[in-house]
Amino acid sequence: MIHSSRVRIAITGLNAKPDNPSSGLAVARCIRETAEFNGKIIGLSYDVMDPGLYQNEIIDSAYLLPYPSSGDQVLLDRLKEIYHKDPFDILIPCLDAELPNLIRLQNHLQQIGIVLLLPNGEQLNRRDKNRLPELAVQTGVKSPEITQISHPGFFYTCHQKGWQYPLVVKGIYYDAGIAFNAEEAAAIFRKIAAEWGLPILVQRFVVGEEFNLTAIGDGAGRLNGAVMMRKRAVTDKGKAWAGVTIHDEILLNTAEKLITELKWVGPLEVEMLRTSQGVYHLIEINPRFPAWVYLTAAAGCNLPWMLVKMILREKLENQNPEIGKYYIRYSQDSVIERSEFESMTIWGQRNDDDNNN
Amino acid sequence: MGHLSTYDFTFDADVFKRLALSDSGFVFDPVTGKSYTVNDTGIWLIKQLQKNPNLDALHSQILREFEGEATVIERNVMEFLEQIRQYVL
Repeated sequence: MIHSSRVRIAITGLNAKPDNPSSGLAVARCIRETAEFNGKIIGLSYDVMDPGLYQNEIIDSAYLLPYPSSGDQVLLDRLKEIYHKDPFDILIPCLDAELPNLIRLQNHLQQIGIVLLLPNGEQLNRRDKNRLPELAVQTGVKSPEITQISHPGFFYTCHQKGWQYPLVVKGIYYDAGIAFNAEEAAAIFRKIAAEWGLPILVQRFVVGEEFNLTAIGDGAGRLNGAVMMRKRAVTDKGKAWAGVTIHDEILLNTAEKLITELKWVGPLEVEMLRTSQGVYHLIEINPRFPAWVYLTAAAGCNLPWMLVKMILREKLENQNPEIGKYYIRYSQDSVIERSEFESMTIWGQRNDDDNNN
Repeated sequence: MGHLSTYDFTFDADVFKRLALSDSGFVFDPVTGKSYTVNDTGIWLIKQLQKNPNLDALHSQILREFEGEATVIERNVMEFLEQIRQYVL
């Protein structure tokens, strides 16, 4: 098996939009800045406007993928095409919506030499947003009630079923908003449904502060390298704009209960709300690294690199993250040559040859 | 017995012990991620509570350490503890 220092890694999720970035570019940055890494990073994304496709200092070559809705075979064919042109050993998906396709394709990909560390379909489904309360009951963790709807009429009659405002309106994969009345809720419903489709989820609102934990499940019920973060500032979408590493045994134990129950395999993020009484409520479990994952490397517990070593079955070093490490996100304009944009638009790729020209 | 020693202020002593306290007055709670700033007197008070989270002991220590009218000092300390209760505990 290839050594981690020379491994070729493909990473998805390069749509680093300032107010709601995916984690792909942060994952790539963690790996790129690892001193012992001298391999190659291949970026995979869906839109020519995804800025991560053009970050030459982090991503060696980049390719467009078909959207997950295109189906398994179309995705497999494209990955094979890229592989034969620009081989890679490991694929790290960074978008929730990619997971179902890749879980189904995992064996096919392994046959051609691409390795992933993913949960199985049942594990993935058990952490679906609409099934979280069920998982919470099984593990003794608190989680706000959630219901699935397909029509905004719910918001005008929900008080009859015991729902009170404010409440949280969420997409099945992405996006969420807090609504203080039926009109606001219906507007959020329509906005999320237009972008991400139906159904829409409605979750009871819990007053609390947001704490997140990211780690890698080993499949035997254990967490590797848990890093905890408290959000210090959020965007209008509720995404962390600034945060600080913390260590709370209660948060860690709660996450461990969930991961042990799921026997989770691969990266994940547990999102919790902590009330003023110190009680944690489970809000979401994301099946991938979070956008703030670079903080793990900055705090001395580089989780993307740990994932690479786990996949390659190399010895893991015990790394305790530094507590009190802050990050503040900022946006920056990337300048792209017309030839790069042209290549991505026409050929769906930017490779080493383009960089050398 | 002064007001301070009879003041109803219950807290988890571990919360004080875990606070990272800088000489600049920057206080960081590694469990909640919250940070605060306190003045020199606040630094002194938190250090005392980290060493011995007992209000009787704090009361005696204050009267030894600071000059001034005992009731005024005690009132200021109680106000400070109330702020700590609100922000830290």
